[in-house]
Amino acid sequence: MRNTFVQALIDQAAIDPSIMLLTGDLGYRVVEGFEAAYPQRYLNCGIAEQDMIEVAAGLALEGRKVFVYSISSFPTLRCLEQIRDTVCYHDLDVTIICIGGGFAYGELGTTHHATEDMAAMRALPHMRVLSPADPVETRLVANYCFATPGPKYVRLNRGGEKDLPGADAIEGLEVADFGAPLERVMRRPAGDPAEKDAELDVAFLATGAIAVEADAASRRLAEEGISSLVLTVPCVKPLDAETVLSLGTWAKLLVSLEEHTTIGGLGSAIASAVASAGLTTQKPIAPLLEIGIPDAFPEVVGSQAHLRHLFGMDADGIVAKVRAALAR
Amino acid sequence: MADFEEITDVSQLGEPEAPPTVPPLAPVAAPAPAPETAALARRMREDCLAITSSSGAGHIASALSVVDILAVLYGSVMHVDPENPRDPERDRFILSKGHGGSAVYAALAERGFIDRNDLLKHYYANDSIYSGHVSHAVPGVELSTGSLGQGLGVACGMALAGRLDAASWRVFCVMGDGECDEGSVWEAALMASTLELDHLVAIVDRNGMQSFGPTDETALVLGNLSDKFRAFGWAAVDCDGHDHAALKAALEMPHGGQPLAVVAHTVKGKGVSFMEGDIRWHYDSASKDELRRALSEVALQDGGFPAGTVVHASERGEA
Repeated sequence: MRNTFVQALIDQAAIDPSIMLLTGDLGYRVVEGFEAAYPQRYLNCGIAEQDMIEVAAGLALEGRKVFVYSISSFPTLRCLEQIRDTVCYHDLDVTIICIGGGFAYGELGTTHHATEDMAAMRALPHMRVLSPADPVETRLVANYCFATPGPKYVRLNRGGEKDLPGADAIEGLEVADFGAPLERVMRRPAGDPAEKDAELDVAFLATGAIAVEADAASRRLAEEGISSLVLTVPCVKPLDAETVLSLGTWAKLLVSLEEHTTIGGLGSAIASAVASAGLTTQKPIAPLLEIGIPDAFPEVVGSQAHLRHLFGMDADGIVAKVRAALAR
Repeated sequence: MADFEEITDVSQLGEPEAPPTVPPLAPVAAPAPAPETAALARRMREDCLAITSSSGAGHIASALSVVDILAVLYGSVMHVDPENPRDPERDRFILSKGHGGSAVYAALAERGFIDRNDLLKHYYANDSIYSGHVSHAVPGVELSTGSLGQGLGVACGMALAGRLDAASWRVFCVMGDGECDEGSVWEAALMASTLELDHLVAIVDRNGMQSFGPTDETALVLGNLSDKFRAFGWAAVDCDGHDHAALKAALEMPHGGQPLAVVAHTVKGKGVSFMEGDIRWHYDSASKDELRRALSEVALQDGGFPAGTVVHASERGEA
C-alpha cells in the first residue's frame, strides 16, 4: 500500500508542481523514488515530527500541497496539537500519511502500533480520515487527496497487501461506485446477497487492511448457512451514514471491524449514526457489534496476524463473535 | 534594563565591515509610508492598555514588552501594505508568543489594516474575531498562535516556500523567551540552519519573565539565548529591545547564508512604571484608575482614542 501511494504521488507530482513530500526520517526504500524525481520538492525533516507538521503548514500557507510521511503514532499523536492548531484550524492542504496502521509493526512493540490514531484525527475539525483496505483503494484514496484541499489523514498498512476480491455493486443498495466521491464509496469484496430484497443476516463494515479478515469470515459464515456481505469503508470521516443505515435496516446484525481501539474509530462513528437514526427514520436498525481493540494495550508482542488473533479480530474471532451475537 | 552587553560585534557573522544599516535583502518595492516608529510605539501602548483594560483581558505586560519590536517591524523594517494585506511580495510576520496579540492588533490598527475603533469596541468581546491570542481571522495576521513553540516551524516552512519561489520577501517570527522552553522551538532552529534559511529572522522578546516570575529562577534556565542560537547554526545578535535604532540595526544586520536570531532584551510591562517587571500584569487587567495612570505615563500627544471611547469593563457591567 505504501509503494502504491508513493508511486501515485510521484505520478501526480509530474502534473501538479505544488506537491511536496516531507518525511520524518522514515520511508527507507519507499520514498527515494520521489526524492530522485523531485529533489527540490522532497525534504527529510529529521526525527522532529512537531516541526515537520509546522513546516508542512508553512509550505501550505504559501500554496503548496504537502504530503507528510511517517509511521505508527509519530505523525499523529506526537504532534497532535500542531495538527490541530495549525493544520486544521487554518484548514491547510496537508495530507498526513501513516504507515503501520494497527498492528502492522506488531513485533516492534506498543510504541509502533497505530491504534488510537483514527480517534484522534476524527475528533479534529476539517480533518478527513481515510483508511483504504488494499492497493486498489489506496489508489482511490490518493486520487481523492490530489483532488481535495484541506487536512487529510491517510492510514495505510505496510507493504505487500493483495487486492481484495471483487468489488461489485449491490442492486438496490445506495453504495456508490468508483466514479462517485470517495465519501460514498464502499466496496463489496464478499457476501451472498446480490439483491437487496434477499434476506441478510450480517453486514460487515470494515476499514483498512483488516477487511481481509471480514472477507474470510464472511465466506466461513456462508458455509454455516449465515448470510452476510462485506463492505469496506475507505472514508471513515466523513462517514457515509446513509449507506450504514440502509444496511442497518436490511441486515439483522451490523458488524464494524477495524484494527484500532473501539473508542473513537469506525465502530464509534457507526454507533453514532445508528444511535441517532431514530431521529430521522421509523425503521428499526439492527444492533451493532463493534470489533476492534478493547481498551487495552497488548501484553505480549507478536506479528500482525498473531495480535489480531489475540484480540479476536481475525477470521476465527470474528466468526465466533458473530455467531454469539446472532444466538442472542 | 537587563544585565546584558549590547553586542554589535558582527565578527562571527562573517561580514564584520558591513554597515549594519544596509539591509542585505532589500524588498523589491519601497515599503508603504509608515509612521515614525517612536510615535507608533506610543500609540500602540495606549491601544494595548485601552483594549485590555476595557475588556478585562490579561497579558498587558507581555504586549508592552513586545511593542517596540513590533513598532520597528511594522513601522520601518517590514514591507507590508495595508491596502493589500495579502500582497504576495509582502514580508511575513508570525507572533509565536500569541498572548501578545493585543500588540499585533494595535500595530495593524495603527497601520490601517483594521479599524481602530472597531478593535477598541470588539477586542475580546463575544462574537468578535479579536481573540486574546492573535487570530488569523484578522486582516494582516498570517497565523493564529497561542500554544507556545508553534510559530518558528511555520516560519521555516514559509521561508522554504519563498526560497523555492526565488522570492525576496522575508519571514519574521517573534517568540517569547519562556517559549524557548519548548522543544519544538529547537527542532525548528535546527531545521532553519540545516536549510540555511537566510530570509528567516527570529526575534526573542527576552523580557526575562514567565508564568511565575523570572525565567531562569522559576522555570528552566535559559541562559544566553544568542549563544544557543549560534550553537544551532544561526547568526545571532543581542540588542536593547526598546531602542528602535538598535532594533533596526539588528534586524537589518547582514547574515548571509544563515537564519538570523535577534535576542531583544526587554522589560515586561515596559512604559508603565507600576507594571514593569511585576508578574501580576501577566494576568491582571488595569482598573479604571490604573488605566488612567498608565495612559498618563505613556503620555501620548499624538492621537489616541477619541474622548469617551475607552470604557472600562467595570462600567460595562462585565468586570
